[in-house]
Amino acid sequence: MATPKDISAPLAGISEAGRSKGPDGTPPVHLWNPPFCGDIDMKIATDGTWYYMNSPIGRAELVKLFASVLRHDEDGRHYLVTPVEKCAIKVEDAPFLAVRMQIQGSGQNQTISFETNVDDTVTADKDHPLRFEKEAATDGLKPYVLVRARLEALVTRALFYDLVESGSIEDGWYGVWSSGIFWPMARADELD
Amino acid sequence: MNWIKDTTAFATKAKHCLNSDIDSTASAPVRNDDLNKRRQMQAKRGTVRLAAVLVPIIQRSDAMQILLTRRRDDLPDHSGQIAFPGGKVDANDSSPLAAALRETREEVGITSEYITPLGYLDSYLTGTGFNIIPVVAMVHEGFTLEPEISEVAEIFEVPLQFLMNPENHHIHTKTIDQIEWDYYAMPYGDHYIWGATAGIIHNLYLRMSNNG
Repeated sequence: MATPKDISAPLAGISEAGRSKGPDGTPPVHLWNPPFCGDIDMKIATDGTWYYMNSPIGRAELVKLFASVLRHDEDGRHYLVTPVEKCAIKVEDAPFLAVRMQIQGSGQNQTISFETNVDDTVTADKDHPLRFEKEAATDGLKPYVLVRARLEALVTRALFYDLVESGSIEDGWYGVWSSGIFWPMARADELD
Repeated sequence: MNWIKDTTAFATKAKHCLNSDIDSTASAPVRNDDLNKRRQMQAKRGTVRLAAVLVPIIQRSDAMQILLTRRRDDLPDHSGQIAFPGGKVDANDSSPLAAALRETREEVGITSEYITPLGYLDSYLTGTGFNIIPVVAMVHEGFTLEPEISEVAEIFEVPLQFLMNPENHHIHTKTIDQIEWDYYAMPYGDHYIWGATAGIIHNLYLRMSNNG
């Protein structure tokens, strides 16, 4: 057996960061402005798996710790941020995967909530918008929900079917209601 | 676990652990994942249609792989989903095995000369009313893939070692009108394997790791 890699090693301040909790329970990464320490060989794949040096990070607790200090900056890049460093990582699609969904009520009174692979829970509302992106290759749609500060979750295909089923047409658009807001998917006349 | 890496060990163990008799699966349609009792009852009220799929284990030089397809987005049943080659058992099919072999030839172009059936998994009743009989088979290299483009968007392989690792078997959930629906999910790269296909893979894992 190979010796397990010390995957918390690239971040000197990760323990300290993990102990800091903002009002929402996550470390206040937006308040920290440490020096940039370059790119580290870490990646979040499309399926939500975190990799360090091409090996999947198996420990769920460690993945959650890293996820809690993830920041998506205005330059479009994703960083792990601690009080003492800021390191860039690669994100293939969205950083999180929405793997559980709850639809309650119907019509304008409907609410749609999601849970991510790293156990964040969000309800689609004005602070957590839903968006549907056209996939160039297949002409299909990919749904995303904002979890916090520019960090989105990709909604799995299994859940997307039920989102579509709970939809309706408003002003020529097909979409879904959640928290009193209509989230458009596509123009109704573009659907089959 | 030798059977994950060695094809001879896999075939030997499969003959121990899988059902050899089709009657033992066809007579008692149950969901093998046991996750959704409510949904099982709902499906039982409707008409149940018999279907068969092939679980193709391909012997590659370095490792065994499971072959899967992604169905086209514009099909009436299970569109866009990851699936095994397979489909409804027709009146002309002499058995579920014959149906699985016919569908495999039609959908991906692998003919039966390359296929050695090893046994049956437990049948899987879907929420859409199909009772699926999975046939596990070893597929020998040398075949040429010919996707049926009207149904199959993509054919790909996933390492057996990945799919037989229970850490990759997740249970994902949707709750609609306060009814919770759980299903197995195995995200693999760009492919999100879930529902019936993931349930059948989980059943293969349980069968192969529990018995004998």
